[in-house]
Amino acid sequence: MERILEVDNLKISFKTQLGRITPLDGVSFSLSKGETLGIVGESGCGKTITAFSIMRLLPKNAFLGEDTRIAFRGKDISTLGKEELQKIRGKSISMVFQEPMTSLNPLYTIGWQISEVYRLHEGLSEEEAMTRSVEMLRLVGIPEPKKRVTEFPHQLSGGMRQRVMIAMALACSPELLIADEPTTALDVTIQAQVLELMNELKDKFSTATIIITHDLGVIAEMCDRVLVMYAGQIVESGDIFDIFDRPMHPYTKGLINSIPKIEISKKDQKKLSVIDGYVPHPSSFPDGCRFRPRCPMAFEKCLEKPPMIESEGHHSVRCWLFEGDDV
Amino acid sequence: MKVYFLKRFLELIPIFFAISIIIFVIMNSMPGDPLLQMRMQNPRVMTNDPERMRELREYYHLDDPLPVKYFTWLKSVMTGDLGYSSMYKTPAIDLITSRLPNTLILTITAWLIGLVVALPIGILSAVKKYSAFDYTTTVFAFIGISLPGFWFALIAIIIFSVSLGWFPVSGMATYGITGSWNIFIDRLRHLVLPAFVLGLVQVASWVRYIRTSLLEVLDQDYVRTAYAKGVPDRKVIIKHALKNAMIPIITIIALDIPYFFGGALIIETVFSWPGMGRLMYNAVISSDYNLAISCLMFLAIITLISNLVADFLYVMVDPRIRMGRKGA
Amino acid sequence: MPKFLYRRKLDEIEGKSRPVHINSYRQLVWAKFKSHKLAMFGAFVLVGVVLFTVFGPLFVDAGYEDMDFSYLFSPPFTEGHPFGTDELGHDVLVRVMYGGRISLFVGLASAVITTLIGTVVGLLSGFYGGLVDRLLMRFVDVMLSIPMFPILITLTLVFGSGIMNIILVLTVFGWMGVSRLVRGLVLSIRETEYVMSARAMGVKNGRIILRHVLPNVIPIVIVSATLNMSYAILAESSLSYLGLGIQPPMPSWGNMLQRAMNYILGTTTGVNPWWLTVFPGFFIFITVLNVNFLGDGLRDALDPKFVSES
Repeated sequence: MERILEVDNLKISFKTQLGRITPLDGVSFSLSKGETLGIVGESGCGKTITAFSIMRLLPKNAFLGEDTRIAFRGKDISTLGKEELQKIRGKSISMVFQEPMTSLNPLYTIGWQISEVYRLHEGLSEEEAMTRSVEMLRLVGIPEPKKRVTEFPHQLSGGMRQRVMIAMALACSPELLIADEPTTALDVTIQAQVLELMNELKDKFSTATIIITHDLGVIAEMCDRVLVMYAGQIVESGDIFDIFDRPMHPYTKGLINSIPKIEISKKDQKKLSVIDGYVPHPSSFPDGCRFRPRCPMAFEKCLEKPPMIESEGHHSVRCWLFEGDDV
Repeated sequence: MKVYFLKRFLELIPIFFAISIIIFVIMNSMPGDPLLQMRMQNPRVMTNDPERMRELREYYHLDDPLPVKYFTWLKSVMTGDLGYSSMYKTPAIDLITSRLPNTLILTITAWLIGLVVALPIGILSAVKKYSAFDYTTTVFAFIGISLPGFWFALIAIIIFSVSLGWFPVSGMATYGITGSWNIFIDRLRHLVLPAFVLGLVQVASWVRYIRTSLLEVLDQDYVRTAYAKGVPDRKVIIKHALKNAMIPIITIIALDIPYFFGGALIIETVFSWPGMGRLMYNAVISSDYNLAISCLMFLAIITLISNLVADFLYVMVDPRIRMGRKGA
Repeated sequence: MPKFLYRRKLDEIEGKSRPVHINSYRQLVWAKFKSHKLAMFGAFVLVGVVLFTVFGPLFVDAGYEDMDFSYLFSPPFTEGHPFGTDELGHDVLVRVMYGGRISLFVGLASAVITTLIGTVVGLLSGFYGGLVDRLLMRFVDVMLSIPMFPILITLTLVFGSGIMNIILVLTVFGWMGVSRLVRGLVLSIRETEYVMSARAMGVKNGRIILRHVLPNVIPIVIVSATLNMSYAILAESSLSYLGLGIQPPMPSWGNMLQRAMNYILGTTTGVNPWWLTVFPGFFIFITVLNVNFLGDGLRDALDPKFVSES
């Protein structure tokens, strides 16, 4: 199975007027062809920054760590120059963003925006590109694509705009698709439709996919493997059965437990369980294990930074509770 | 789109009335009795005869109740009769229309200078945010908006006219020049200093505004999408960002046209430029109430027109307005 | 170029920036303000100017009316006259100091009054909304687009000149800009969930305005006040320059420039008294410039979402 993406020790720091902030600290993972990886965590855990850093869509004051390496199909793209990077973006690696309402340029027709990718990466003429764009629109399930192609984003609903975004992203059949909270901003019924569409297309194109979300339901729907992130680090990683059936990290357990369940009989009904405390801000990450202040199982060893401990079947966890369990 | 214009135009009508009321109130608050004023300025023509005075008062509607006065005044304004200037002894409207072209020459030139200088600098500042260029530009912009216009003009005169002798000190033309080419050059020489002073002060505020507008657009999600698609930097800035930033920029540039008239007032006074601004200043200095109010009314109308112009430009650029905002 | 990360690695900045530890809003505001170099510079200079104008005259024997006949039109650095003298032998330095008091006072007073009125109007209009609000704001919008200066000079015909009258002239329409800003902010605060829940709980409107809306409006009010002050100082000096503002013999930086203009082409003795133009104008410029720096720094510091790259 070809390794599409290998992220090694991804560390991102921002240089601000107040000093240096490091929201991402040593994230490592990999992705094979056709695989779907989910990255889950609460707001502020660094999952979006992780997604953006692959294509380096971060602002100018962001810096990569010393030993950081991002290998796409074997080649380190973290040191690529501007032009080479631009060739990859939109063609070999694509992204779908969270807010369909604002992710499309309001002053250009959606046809123009999709064909831009074709004109740029495949050198097609305007006509050819437009024809292909109509095809893509049909593929993502937009009715009357020939008519829609001349419309502006504000004339489409949120769900349709997200479909357009997906069309734009998959236009050049990229090998890797990164979707940052693709359905969070959509109504629940539309969410289901869009997820179904994404499942269909990623199988069809066998695109390796990374899905960023805070919604465990989406993870369950779409992903083969999961990374659980907290405070700039991966705290647990494994395939979805491992994560859902045998969660190891207290944080993962807390997340799964806090999914509201509709119980039928009164005796099964429990109070909604929550994880106490707040997600720490990158300017004040706790020392040692970053989850320690909120962890019900914390003990003295937790004052030291726990490493990733790999258990059986590629199920890893960053927690002292599992020290000695390593394979 | 026509609906949009009609709506905007109709909205302006009550505003116009409100402004005219305000101007009317200002006019009526001015101390002094108009007839006495006229008498003081034209002692030979005005009589002292109480009977005649009473007739005149009636003729000029001086003792009518305020609302009547207002409507009479408004009616005459709308028909182009702006009254008489007590200082120049000519109808105000004639004075204004004769000076207006001079002010327009000055204002339009300054506006163009401002545009040509501010646009590229503002755009570059935004694109090279926090660079040395940006920092220098910011400082210059601050200097520009803090400089008193008239002081800047005086210093410019001291340096360029008195010390260096490159440009004439004042006025619009030199008397006694012959030959159309010489006249043209002479006029140009007179125009340079006032136009630059007027324009450069505006450049300062425009540069900051252009920079801010472009930066705001560059922060938008759709710009990030463009980068994510692999669009080269220059194209992102020009095709994706600038086009969107143009909307607020055009609006400001059009809406600022009245400010040029305001700034022209001071500049015309310093440079003795025979325009509407200086006319208004002379009116105020000599307590020529009628002329002053007429100029103000004229300015108000110009402002309302430029509001409409800005609306028009806005529509041209933004398809969302063009189509009347359908969709989700 | 924004949104683009090159190959830079951490070691480039390792030594140059320390990690952040901010614990409260107040700390954040102060830290941001301190790092805004221009604002700090501005604050420093302004304090200097204020001290100069307020306490300077105590150190000098001369009054602004004193005429030194042995030194007419002297350039700067003449004995006893660091800034030179004018045509009547008045010492320019002393006049600049007294003029400063007037100009600063007018500027400050106008700024305070216009900000107060504007804030109240904006708060009420934005919070209670309705037809009155819409009409008022549309009206304010258009009034604001009419160039203010011609209106100001016309108002001097109504109110006359002199310190108090000029303050009046500046405040009659000066509150409009602030009111629009405040009203805009109030509108967005009004729709926030905590205000809506307060209303749902039956909290009286007045209390909501005071406890929820007002504190959030204060940053923008402070910034507006500084902008208003810089505008007021410029407006007063322009009016005085035109002879419509502060009248002689009371000095103001503006009317000093008016007298200077008479000699711009040189005096009868062939002297070019540039110092008469340069000094008062320079002080206007410096004061306004630094008020603007200060305002900009305050705006960046008080904006909760804004932390700039360095």
